[in-house]
Amino acid sequence: MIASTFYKEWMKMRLYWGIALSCHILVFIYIYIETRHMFILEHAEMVWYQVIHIHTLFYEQIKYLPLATGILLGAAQFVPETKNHRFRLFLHLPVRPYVLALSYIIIGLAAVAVICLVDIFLLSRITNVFFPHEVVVRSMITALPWLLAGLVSFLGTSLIVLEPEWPRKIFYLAVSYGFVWLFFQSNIPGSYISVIGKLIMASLFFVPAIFLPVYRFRNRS
Amino acid sequence: MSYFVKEQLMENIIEVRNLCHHYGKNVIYEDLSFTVGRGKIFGLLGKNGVGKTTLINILMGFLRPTSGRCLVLGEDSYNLSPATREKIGLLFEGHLAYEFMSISQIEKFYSSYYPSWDRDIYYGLVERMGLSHNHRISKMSCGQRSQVVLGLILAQNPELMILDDYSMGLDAGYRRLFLDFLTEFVKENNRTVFVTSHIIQDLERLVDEVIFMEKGGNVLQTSLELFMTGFRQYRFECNEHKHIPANNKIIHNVDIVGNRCSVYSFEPLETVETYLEESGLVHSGLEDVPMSLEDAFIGLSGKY
Repeated sequence: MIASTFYKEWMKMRLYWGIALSCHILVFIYIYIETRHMFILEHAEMVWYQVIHIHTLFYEQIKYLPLATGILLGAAQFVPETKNHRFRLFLHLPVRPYVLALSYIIIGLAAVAVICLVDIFLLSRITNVFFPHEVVVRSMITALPWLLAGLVSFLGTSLIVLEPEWPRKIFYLAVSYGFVWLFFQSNIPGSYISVIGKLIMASLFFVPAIFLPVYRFRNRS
Repeated sequence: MSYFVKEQLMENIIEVRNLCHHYGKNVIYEDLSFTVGRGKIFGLLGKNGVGKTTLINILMGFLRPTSGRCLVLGEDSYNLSPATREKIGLLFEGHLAYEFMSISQIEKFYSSYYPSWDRDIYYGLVERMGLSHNHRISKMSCGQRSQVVLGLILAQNPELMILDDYSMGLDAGYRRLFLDFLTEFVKENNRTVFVTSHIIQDLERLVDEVIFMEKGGNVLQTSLELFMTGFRQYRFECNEHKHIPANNKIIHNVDIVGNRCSVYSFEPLETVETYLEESGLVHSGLEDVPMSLEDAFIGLSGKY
């Protein structure tokens, strides 16, 4: 049954997941070429100075990529599930609906997380080619809120798409937008280090929130 | 719920008791009650707006009634356990299916959820279409999709099938194919079907019992045979238009087209003839006209 659930979710997401992953890899190839280009055109110490002291982000192109990926995969997973009231097919499956909904969310989050891990890997490898270890660590910490925004945008999109009624969809959109906005308030490397734990904890509230539309769909009166 | 009470309820596959449902101030039912016994095909008939879709949604567990009880296989319909849902096959209006899947993918997906899954039934039905197993459902016609959906429901081998307007979008050939497979399956396996359709003449070939629903929740539940023999249409010529009182114990409904007057009644010809004569409405020439189920449905519920 678990394999079957994974199979169906993969059917829906595989094309969009492949497109998203390709986009991320292409952007990192671009970042690598651009950074290498900077070292060719300028003195290495000048580039280091800009990155280490002026806090120039040579990888800023990836800033909104996880966010877009979360929205894309959330829509890819749940629009086919809810279109034409098809959510009734989901609710009739002989499994506890909240367990099933949780498994869908875990699969979707895992799909976004894999792309985020690829981002972390590529960012660390590229940074490591040109900069010292301290810059590698700081770039990871800087990118972490963006990656987290990807996971939250997935959960927010899922919540909005699953919700059966428009006023609540709009409310969830406002809440999700407001929360995701918090992740993009500072470009200074490492500025989120003191709050990232709290943001992660707050983001976890989006997971049980997904049960709300499922409950409301089942108990409409 | 005690074992004895549950066993009693299980004799009825569906039990609706004093069901009330409102949409805001709009009352759909006040006191709807009926039962659906095991091993028969029940047709739900009613004019547009009487609440058939609402009832189907309540039975399917997607709508919580305002009050009253709706038990399906002994459990509240809005709170069915997974084990009970496993025994119920649902066909949604428009033959809803996961359209992003192919014929074989959707079979693979559903088969893992149902222990008594019979893939031969599924492929026996869908292979008649001559399509590749990799054919995507989104690229099928409505008729082809209906075959896939029926195949999935039958392969599930459910005790109860609730079919919401199975005929929507199907041409005569696909409707016939659908009904032939369904009827054969039900008779062979002693299954229960609760069905709605806008094509009433199809139901005449399919159902054992009919439930006529009126606005507010009044129902007439009877076997099709009893209804078709007991409910009559009597026709006569009326040159001058007179008011014929309907909705009384003898005349259920009246329909006048030109100078041809039809009265519908559960009473025999003689009783109706005497009533009309005593009322001074007509003296003779009353003719008993054979009716199809569709004619009888219109006679019972009226055209408007």
